[in-house]
Amino acid sequence: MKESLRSNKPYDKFVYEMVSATGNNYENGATGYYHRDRGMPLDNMANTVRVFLGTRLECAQCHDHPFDKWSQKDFFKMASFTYGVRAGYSRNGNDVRRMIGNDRREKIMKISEEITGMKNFYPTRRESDIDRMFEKDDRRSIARRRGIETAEEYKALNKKVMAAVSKLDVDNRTMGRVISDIYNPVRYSAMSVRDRNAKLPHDYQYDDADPHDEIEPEPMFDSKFDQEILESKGYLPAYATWMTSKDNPRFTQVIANRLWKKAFGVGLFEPADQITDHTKPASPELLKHLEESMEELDFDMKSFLAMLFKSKAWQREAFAEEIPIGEPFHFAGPALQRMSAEQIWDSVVALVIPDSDHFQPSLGRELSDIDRERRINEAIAAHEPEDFKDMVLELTAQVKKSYAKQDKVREAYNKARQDEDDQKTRELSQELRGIQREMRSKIYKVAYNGTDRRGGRSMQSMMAGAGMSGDGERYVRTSTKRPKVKMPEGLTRDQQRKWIRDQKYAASSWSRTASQMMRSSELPTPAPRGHFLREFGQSDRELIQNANDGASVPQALNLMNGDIADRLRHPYSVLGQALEKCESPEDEIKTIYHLMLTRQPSQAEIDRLLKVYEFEGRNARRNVIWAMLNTQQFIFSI
Amino acid sequence: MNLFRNQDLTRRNFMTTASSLLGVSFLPNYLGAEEAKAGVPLRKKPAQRLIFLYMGGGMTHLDTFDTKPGHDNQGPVREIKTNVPGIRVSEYLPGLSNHMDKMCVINSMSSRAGAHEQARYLMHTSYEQRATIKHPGIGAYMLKYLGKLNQDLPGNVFIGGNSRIDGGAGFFESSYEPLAINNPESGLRNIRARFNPTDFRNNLDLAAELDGGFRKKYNLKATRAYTSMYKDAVRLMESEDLKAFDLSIESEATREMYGDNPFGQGCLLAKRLVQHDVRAIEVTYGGWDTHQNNFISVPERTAVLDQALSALLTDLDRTGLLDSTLVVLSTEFGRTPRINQNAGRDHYPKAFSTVLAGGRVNGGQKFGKTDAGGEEVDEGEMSPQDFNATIAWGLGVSTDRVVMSPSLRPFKVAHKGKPNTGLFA
Repeated sequence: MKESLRSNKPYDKFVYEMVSATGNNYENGATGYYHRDRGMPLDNMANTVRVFLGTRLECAQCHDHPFDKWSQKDFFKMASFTYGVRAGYSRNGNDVRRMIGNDRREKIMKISEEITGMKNFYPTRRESDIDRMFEKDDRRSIARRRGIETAEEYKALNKKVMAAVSKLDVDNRTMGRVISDIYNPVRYSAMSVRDRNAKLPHDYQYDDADPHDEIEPEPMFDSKFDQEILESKGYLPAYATWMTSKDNPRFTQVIANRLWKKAFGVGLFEPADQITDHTKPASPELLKHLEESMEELDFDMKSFLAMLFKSKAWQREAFAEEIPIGEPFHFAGPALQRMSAEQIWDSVVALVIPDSDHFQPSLGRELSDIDRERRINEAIAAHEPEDFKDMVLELTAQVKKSYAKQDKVREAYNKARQDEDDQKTRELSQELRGIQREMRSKIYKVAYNGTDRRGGRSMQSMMAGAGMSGDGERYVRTSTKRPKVKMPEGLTRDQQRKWIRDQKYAASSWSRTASQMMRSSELPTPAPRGHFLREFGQSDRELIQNANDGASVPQALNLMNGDIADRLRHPYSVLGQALEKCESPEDEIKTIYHLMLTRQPSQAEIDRLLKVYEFEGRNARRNVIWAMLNTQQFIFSI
Repeated sequence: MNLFRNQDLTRRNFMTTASSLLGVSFLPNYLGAEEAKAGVPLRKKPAQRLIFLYMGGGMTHLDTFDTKPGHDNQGPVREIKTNVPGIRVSEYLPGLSNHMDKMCVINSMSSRAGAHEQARYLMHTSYEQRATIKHPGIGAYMLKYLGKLNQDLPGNVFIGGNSRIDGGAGFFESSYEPLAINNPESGLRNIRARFNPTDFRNNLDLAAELDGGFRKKYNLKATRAYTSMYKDAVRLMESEDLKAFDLSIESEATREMYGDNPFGQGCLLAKRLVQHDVRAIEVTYGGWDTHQNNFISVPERTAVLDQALSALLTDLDRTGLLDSTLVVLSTEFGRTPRINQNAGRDHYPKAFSTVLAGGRVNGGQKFGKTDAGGEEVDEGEMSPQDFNATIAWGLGVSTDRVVMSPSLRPFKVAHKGKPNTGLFA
């Protein structure tokens, strides 16, 4: 997504790539769109329609929509397009499992037949299953059909067979775990699709179809739909083409309105993702004009936004009255908006970290994670099925030995615990974990042909692969550098000593100050709970548009008592460096206003703050920055 | 729609009805009033506060509250007597065996959610996890229906290290989101000013002064919310009740009684918070996902749980808060009764155990039964929805009242759950 936005990829193409994405995530990042709703294809459909077509279908998932025209059947027609999407585990070892399982089953049946003289006598490990077989008079009581009258008789036979079977040296459960462990690191890599129609639920209550009916895919609007693509290329491409087409009545409308809303704070229609036949835009002419512009620009979002930002309406001051909900707003100016959590955080980052747009400290880890996933996938794919089977069997045997060792340690551990020997208990618990770790690394070595967590391609080659070579188009920095500082001339000896002392302190505290200060798009999203971003309402990404701009007490506590003010005034921060160059208090005041509020101070403001400098002396800068950070002007955009 | 013929019309619900008729959230209240008539009457003298202890990962039932002595499934764990004749618990719970008289153990929990995330969500919200909506938890419902008890402090608090909170505000306004505390020892974050009180006041005044023109020009709901929120924050910083969050006030003996670990100290913090009239506190304790080495990991967990919960019940009793505070011990599912080859137990939603204590619950009983191996529920099957409805009922939260989500879909605190009112005195 970052690459798409950076290159200003046309919006229709951008969406097409996500909605039609298939393949491995290390080759096609767009598959993430389906991984998000893994295992929930119906919800994914409702989300897609809401995001890109501004229409709410989720109610129709369980019954005809109560406030809109959509029927439950409409929903399932749409759902069929993506019902066959499978995110994760394309090859999950089932074939190998089956192969080994069949082999084992054959052997067991042979043993069983030799002992019982019966075909199909399959032994069980648990005798209670046999009791149940005789209790219930249902299909499962095949025992009776085999001519065995009592549970005791059955159990005796079962015991004999089990004794013989236990000598077979294949442990099914260990093997299952070995296979899972092999696939575990790549369980989210793949996304595949097999065209498959959705079925109506068991409680379908309308007359136009029956429960469990399969529903053919069909688009929800009557706009042009290319049946030929569906037949030649499959459901997803046909669906993505229809969705992102200029003929689709809502695709252009939704993005035009969303971008307008992004600029002005209020959409031409609201909610932006709940269009019905009764939706009345504030100005139908303007909306029409925006849609036409979007189409003329071929979904070039950057140019579209430039057009909005150049308009007189946008350049006016923010509207200073309450905008009533549910009534059309005629855009006497943009709405007053509290900046998003990301905007506030990024503002702070830009004031601390030089060149913050190019600062991507986690890039190396991300690229090597992707590379590792690719290598493991390739290593697994390199095994032929027969060879894979042998490998799993061999590993299972090896791991079994490790279990024996584990059991011994565990026994000793239990004894130590009974004796309340804490020291020994801890040691043994550690030893046990060590054995388990060793076991896992064995799995890595054998199954991935020596590939492990580290290794692989160099950073340079990975960056080049991602279009980020040193002399390429994009300049990326992965570490914060300290600014170059030079001692001012004409200092006395004492002043020089103080200057050096200050520099030493600044240098030693800089890495702590700059730590984790990167743009929100470079941090994991959602940020961990309690992070500045979350406190200011960053979305937890569990739902669409789940961010909020409401005021909360932890926000005030963070700005007043957290460490942001200290980071801002650090001598090496962007703001700190700018202030170092100032020659007078008035100059400092102007710089602070310019950098923190992006405007010049009025004369009254200068006069007021000059008084602070007069009374507070050395502490003035600290107090002024703190006060500025705690103004509403800092977090609202006008 | 004859609202006024309602015989139960008290002054309070007359006011609600009247405000409904004035157009204030008409639909929810109306539906609520109507359905409440048809449904379960609210509990008289409900518990005022909730301490919700959540065992993350899935707490084994066989090795805690549903022992099966002599059965293959039980493994090496023995059972011990409790202070209630005829009721026994696992040897891993020696402390709680002395509090059985205060506890109602439910042995017949049963659900169909066997994956952590889905099960955790279900146990907290009574609804299946969906990608299209987020449901509120019981704490948020308490605040929504019953309001705060202490206006200075947050109404609901979450203590624990998880990155996500299930059963938070859900689709309610963000003000119903619990205040999250990762580490009970460090208490509230950013609560201490970095200046001396005079400088702090001066700087606050300076910020307000610099903002004067802006706030006057943009005198809007959004900006006023920030003005008043800053006042709330300062009031909290200066509040006497802040000491509720400060564990260092407690004696060394009390702190040790709860256990020197985050969960123990979290329970102590929860007790201090209910003492200061915080409505709902959740304390989570993870690590119950014992697929391997069950009989090594479980006693480590139970040691912590046993000590902390025993201390909590003792302390609530001692301070006279036990009857007005409902203590819940919940988890996402039980664990397979059959012991696997790694000496572990896997996920098992079909049968598991939870506990209610305090809040004038009928203590000293085990509700429901599983079969000889702890595999099937034989008696009194209770779904997560019924369990949550029972909790809600105990707290005076209507299980019949309907609230509408912003997308205008109807929801109830425990979905279709029916409270088991017999578990309470």
